[in-house]
Amino acid sequence: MEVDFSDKVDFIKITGDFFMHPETVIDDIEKSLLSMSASSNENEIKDRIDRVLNQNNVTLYGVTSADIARVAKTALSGGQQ
Amino acid sequence: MGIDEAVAESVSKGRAPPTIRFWRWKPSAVSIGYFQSMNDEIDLNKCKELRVDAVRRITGGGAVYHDYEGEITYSVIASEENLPKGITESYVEICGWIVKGLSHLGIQSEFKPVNDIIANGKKISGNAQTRRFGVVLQHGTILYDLDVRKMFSVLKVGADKISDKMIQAVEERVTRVKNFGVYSRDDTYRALLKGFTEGKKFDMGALTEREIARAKELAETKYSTEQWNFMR
Repeated sequence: MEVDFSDKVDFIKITGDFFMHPETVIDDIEKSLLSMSASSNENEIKDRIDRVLNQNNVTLYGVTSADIARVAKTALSGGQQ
Repeated sequence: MGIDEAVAESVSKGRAPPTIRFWRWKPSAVSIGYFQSMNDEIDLNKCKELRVDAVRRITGGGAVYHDYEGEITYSVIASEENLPKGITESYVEICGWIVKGLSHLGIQSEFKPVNDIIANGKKISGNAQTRRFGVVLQHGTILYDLDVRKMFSVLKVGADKISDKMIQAVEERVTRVKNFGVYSRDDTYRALLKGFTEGKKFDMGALTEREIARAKELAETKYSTEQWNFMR
């Protein structure tokens, strides 16, 4: 995952070995995380992701929204992604 | 990739029946999953040197090295109504055809979620699925032979890190048809064809002119473009 942020998230790109149907919703998930406070906790990030998943009737396979939120939080904390 | 998408469009529009394809990559290639980064996963300089193509798939999952001699690739493209609704269930169904096919060679194997088939405790097949416009597209590979050193050289492992120990570690996790006996590629293809078609009414057919034209168009405007391949 690639993230640029100061107080807020300026850029985020989610990459990895997982499945999501339909795939293009990944762009909406990334958009939903833009402008989010960089100090958001995992639950807040997960809520944003879940909202997009529910709106678009998305199926995740091999990964959960909590997994993505955890990696995003790690990236925002300056840890390894 | 273009052919898979062209056939998926045909099936979606009712112009083609449920379709099973067996094919191979020429030249050998590395495919990355929809969500992966080309630069993170593939050593593009090495690919160029070895004349190995690189392309992003429309399906998720991981990076795969497709050796022209080393694997048999299949695609199943069918309306969602023709397959179990659940994703795991549809993997079980289609992967079950591979398991049956391998059994015709005397190879006992089983589906291992999320998307693998294992034989003798080792991976022998990897699979990936997408669903769009009411159509399920699942493609995957059955390892026939495997050049682990070449695979590592084109994936971003780092040439300096390709050690005998690492190769041995892969050999312990991955297997291929050739490990189970003296089977030709044609033997393997025929066994798989039988496994995929048993109990089904089917005709052997060819791509339509419209599908070929559309596949070429997709190859030019999508799958060979930087915009697609480097979008992540």
